[in-house]
Amino acid sequence: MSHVSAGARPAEKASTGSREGRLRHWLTAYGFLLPALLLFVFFEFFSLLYNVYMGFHDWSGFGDPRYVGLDNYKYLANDELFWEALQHNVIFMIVALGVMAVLSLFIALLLDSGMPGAGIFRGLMFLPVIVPTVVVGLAWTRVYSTQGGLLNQSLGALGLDSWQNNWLGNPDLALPAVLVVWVWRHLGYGVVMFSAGLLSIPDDLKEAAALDGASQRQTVIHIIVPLMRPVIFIVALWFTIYAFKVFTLVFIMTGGGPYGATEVLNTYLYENVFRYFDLGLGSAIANIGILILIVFAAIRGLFKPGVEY
Amino acid sequence: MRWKELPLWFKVAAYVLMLILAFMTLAPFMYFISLSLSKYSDTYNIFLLPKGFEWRNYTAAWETVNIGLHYRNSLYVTALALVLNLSAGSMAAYALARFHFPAREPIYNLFLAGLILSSETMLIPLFLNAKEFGMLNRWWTLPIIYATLGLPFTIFVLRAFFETLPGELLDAAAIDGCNPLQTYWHIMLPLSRSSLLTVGLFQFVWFWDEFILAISLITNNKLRTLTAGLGKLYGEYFIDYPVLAAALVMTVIPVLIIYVLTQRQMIRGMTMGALK
Repeated sequence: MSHVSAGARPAEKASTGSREGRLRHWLTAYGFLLPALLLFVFFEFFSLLYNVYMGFHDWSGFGDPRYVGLDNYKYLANDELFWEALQHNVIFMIVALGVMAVLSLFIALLLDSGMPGAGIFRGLMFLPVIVPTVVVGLAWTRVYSTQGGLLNQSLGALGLDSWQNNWLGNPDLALPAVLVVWVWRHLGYGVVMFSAGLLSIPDDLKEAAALDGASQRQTVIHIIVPLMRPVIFIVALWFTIYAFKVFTLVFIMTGGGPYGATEVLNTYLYENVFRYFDLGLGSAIANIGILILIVFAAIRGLFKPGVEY
Repeated sequence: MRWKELPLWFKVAAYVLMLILAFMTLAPFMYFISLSLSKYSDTYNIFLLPKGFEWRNYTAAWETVNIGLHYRNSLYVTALALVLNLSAGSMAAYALARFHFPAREPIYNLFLAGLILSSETMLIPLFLNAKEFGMLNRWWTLPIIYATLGLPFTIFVLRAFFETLPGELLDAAAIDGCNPLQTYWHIMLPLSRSSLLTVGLFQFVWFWDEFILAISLITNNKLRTLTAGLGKLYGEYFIDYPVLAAALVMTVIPVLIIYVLTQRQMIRGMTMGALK
């Protein structure tokens, strides 16, 4: 925030005044809070409680929900499809941390180094981040299509006919194909995050290392990366959340198929609700997803880096 | 890294990598623009450049598959959600930043915890509640829910901003006889224009993108937003690729225009999203 801060000094003199004045002050504050609080409590807080409640019930949407205790969770524990879906989310996470985060940090370092044309590259890389996911999914489905899709066409034109494939229809290739698109969509986010982080490192620190005779690689490893730790942490957490939130892209491109090869928690949840009308099971899946994210957020809280970025 | 001191092979490799990435970024866009300008009969051999200019695809997308209708719905849902989100959010942020009252921090933390929830995980309760309270297929349902799901972020950013404003300003306003509502309206809001824009852009991208609630809570095609309309369209009967491509290009255009105009602010909003 660019504003010169005079500190968040309590400007509210009223709070130190008479009892009546204080009460008025409180009521005014609650008045300002009211619209947001009402919306939030009704749609988010109660929804969350409802989700927890529904996870212990069996309900098809008609009649009364039947209490079944932990049955939904026990069912999921033995449900192969569920574990497969969860495993796919974990693969998304591994790709996010192992490929996307590393690549975007490297790109950010390049763009920060004074590489000619860096501005153009940065602007370009961010472009996919703002394109609606549905559009990304539909466009890439066409790129992968077996009926005149760009990829197979290009392979054909290059004389690589044998490489042509049914990218989204082949159970071995569908997940990697979707992952490529997912990385395509989110890479730019990592790049701008790391770029912002690099800007906050003072130039003299980078210069000092150069005077010490440290090689560029050493500077990056021993000075820049440690200084970037807070940002790296945040990007890692963010990518992890993305990995467990993924839905639209898979839903549009493969619907979780072929044969569950790209099923993720949220597509599985959606199927249970809108195809099998098993709201209890769907809620249980959602609760597990929320729980996983809470754990990751808590881990972040435990290791919260000193610098808030 | 300092570019000038890097070895030549590294520079060459870096450019090759960046050019490949730039090409991969642009190729799908170019392909779809070409596709949207092609005749149906050319669909199967289009690369990155169009063969001719079939503008008819655009009018067809607008009229026959009702992109125009979904466009209006999306604009309207997004605008309403933004107004609701920014007004409720900024008021709450003002209270949380500038007033002292019981349970202030717990309330703030409650909002913050909402950052973890997403429309996907909240699908079932939101759907069931909407059904229970007659909110399915209502024009106001999506704006209200989007605005609510966006509240944690808005409150988080605006509170941090409001806290940086000097207290003298508010004292002066009080001496001039401003009541808190007037202070909020005449002082806080005008001063936070830039923060509101940043937050608004972030929310805009998200509202324009939202899909799962848009297809679940609204099943009446007349009320469907763009993303929901496109998704359904494709799933059900649509195979005229040039027309679909035209529809996709038109969906992206508003975001693209706004991105070009406000690149800095938008990226700032996105990087602030990481504060979460």
